[in-house]
Amino acid sequence: MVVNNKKIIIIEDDDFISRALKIKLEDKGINILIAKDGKTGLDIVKKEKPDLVLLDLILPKMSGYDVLVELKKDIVTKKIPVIILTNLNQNEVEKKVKDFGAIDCLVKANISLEQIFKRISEVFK
Amino acid sequence: MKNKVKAKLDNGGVLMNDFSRMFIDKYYNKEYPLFKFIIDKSNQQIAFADMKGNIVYVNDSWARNHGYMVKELVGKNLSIFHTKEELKKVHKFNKILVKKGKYVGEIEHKRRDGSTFVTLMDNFIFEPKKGLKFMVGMATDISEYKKNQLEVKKSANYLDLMAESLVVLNQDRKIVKINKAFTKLWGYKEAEIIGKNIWKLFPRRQREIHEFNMKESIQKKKAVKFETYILTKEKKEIPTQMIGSVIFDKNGNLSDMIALFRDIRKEKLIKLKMFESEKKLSAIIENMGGGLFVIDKDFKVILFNKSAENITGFSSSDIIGKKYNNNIKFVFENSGNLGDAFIYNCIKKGEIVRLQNHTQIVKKDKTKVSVSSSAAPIKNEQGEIVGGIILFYDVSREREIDKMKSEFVSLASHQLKTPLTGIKWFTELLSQEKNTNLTEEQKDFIKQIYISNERLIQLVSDLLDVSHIDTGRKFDIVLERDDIVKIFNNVLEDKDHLIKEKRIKFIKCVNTPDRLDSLVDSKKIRQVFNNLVDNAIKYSNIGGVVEMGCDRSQKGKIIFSIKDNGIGIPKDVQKNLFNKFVRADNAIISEADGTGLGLYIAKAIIKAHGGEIWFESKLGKGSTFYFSLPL
Repeated sequence: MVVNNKKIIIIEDDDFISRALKIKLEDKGINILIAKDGKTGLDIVKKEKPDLVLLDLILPKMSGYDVLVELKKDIVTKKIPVIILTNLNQNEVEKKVKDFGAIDCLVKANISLEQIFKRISEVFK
Repeated sequence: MKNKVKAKLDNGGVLMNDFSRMFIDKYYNKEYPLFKFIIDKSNQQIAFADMKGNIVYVNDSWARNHGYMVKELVGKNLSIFHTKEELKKVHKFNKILVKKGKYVGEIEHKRRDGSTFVTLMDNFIFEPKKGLKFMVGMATDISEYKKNQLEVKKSANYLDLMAESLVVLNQDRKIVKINKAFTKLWGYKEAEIIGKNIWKLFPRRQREIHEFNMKESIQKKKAVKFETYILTKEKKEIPTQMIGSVIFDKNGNLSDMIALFRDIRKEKLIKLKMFESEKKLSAIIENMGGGLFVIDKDFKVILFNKSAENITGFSSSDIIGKKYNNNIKFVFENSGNLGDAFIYNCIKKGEIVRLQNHTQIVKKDKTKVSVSSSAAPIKNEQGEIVGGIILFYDVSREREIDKMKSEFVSLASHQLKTPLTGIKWFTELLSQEKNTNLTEEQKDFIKQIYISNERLIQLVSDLLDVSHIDTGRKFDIVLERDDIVKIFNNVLEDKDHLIKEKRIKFIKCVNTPDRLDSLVDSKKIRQVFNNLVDNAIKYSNIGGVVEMGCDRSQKGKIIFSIKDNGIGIPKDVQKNLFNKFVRADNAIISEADGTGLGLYIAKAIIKAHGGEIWFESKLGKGSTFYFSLPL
């Protein structure tokens, strides 16, 4: 599978959200890193250089927007695809994060774990 | 006694008989040469006659004025100068004349051509020697005077007929004439007031204003009009309007003054009442909480109240007399575009127009304040629009609360969605096929949890949408070119399990194109399709037919329709169907699940796209929902 041994970081402050994701994705053979705030997340991305970032927007210490901006500023992390996972269901949010360089913006409550996995698979195709 | 007349011409060319010659020779020519000269040259008409009235001598003036030559008249009887009727009067006068030796009176004379004129006759008996008597008549034509006198009498009559009281003063400000109305209105009798000084008529304190106006009138030779008080005979002060004018003689000297007085007690009272109600009204307008301005039909401001000043920062002197939009700008909160069409529409259409929500007014200092406003036309008695009243309230606090409410709902829904996501995902994990140790019943329970949770998620996002629609702040749509048919097909795919479950026969219209690109907000349009298809399935009976239609026959738009043959919508709910939280009774019975928000949101979305949404329905037969989108 294309996702095998891929390294994905989930930057998400809600434990059970990240846990559900972790279970689903690890089940598919993906290596999962978890960060519970924006700042830690950014540090881990810089250090670990994962294959993909699943990024929440409302985060302690550093917002998802700022993490995104920082990632896209850095020449090394710039190329890592970022998918925003949020419950802010607004056009303006989607437009903003895409402008900042996110490849997609998914609304958590409206999407199943299976759909998230499918979307991730598409990225690695 | 008859005089034989031997006519001869004397050196003056006057024909005389012997008698007159004798008279003239003796008493006139010789003894009174100057007297003759005067008589002949006099403009006074003079005649000498004997005691029987036979003319001895007339001067030229007499002859001419009666239409004769002097020579024609000597020897004629004076009776030829009178009409038959007048002769009776003449005889009467003659008797007095004979008795008293003189008589003065008005007698009508007849000219040769039969016309008459009135004379003032000064008659006397002239007796140069005992036994010799003459009648001498000196006539003055007073017909002009009489005519004038008649006119004067007539005009005096007119003055008395006037309803307004009038006083004529001489140049010493003494009253020379009052009319009847004056007597009646102010109680003075003529005798009490004629000859009195005009000041008697006014309170002392008014004197200054009278002096001033009198001076003004004399200097500028024109009438003056002013309000004053007149003193009645009982010393009561009555408010009057006075018109004073001055009359100058031919030489430009002041001759008389005329003053007219009109009782204005009633007007004063009405004015006072009007002033009071006006005062009340203006107090209301000034102190009302709403900003108010009034414009004429040319959009010029004629009133700008205190609240309007407070809200806008403009003073009424900045605004009044100018077109309102020189200064006052209504703009849309989101776009900043001018939003004062409501005023224009009000004046043009003559209807009350309310300002669209979320409008601001630009203050004098260029800051903006949120307002809610309306414009109402002002019509005159003929129903023509003559202006408009614009009322506006500072709603910045309400807007602030709205914003807070919207933010709260947004935050709350976000907070709700996080645990809902947890439930969604863990039930998903639980129902994975690899969890084979679950019983069928347990699997069903999990499914029910999942479905309930999906409903909760839908409800939360619907409420969020509604809060955005209601506040109008965040219900923004982002238009992007997208394939509408693809959006619809995606919805159908999602609904596939439902369609199968209810064994619905789904018919897609034959003329649906494979692809139709349009500027839409894909997510929102998807939501509309979703809501409509959802309803069609939900309110269909098992094995029902749902048909999707697509009509491109009208230029510039496309009309989609979703038709079902389900339970239909009762008539009483139909007109409110697009209101929020409206659900028909039969819908609740057939499908308990539903918030009554779907169509409300769908309508808002379609409206935001510039399209329309409507439906046709018959209870028990089914419904068809249509919506149009501009292409």
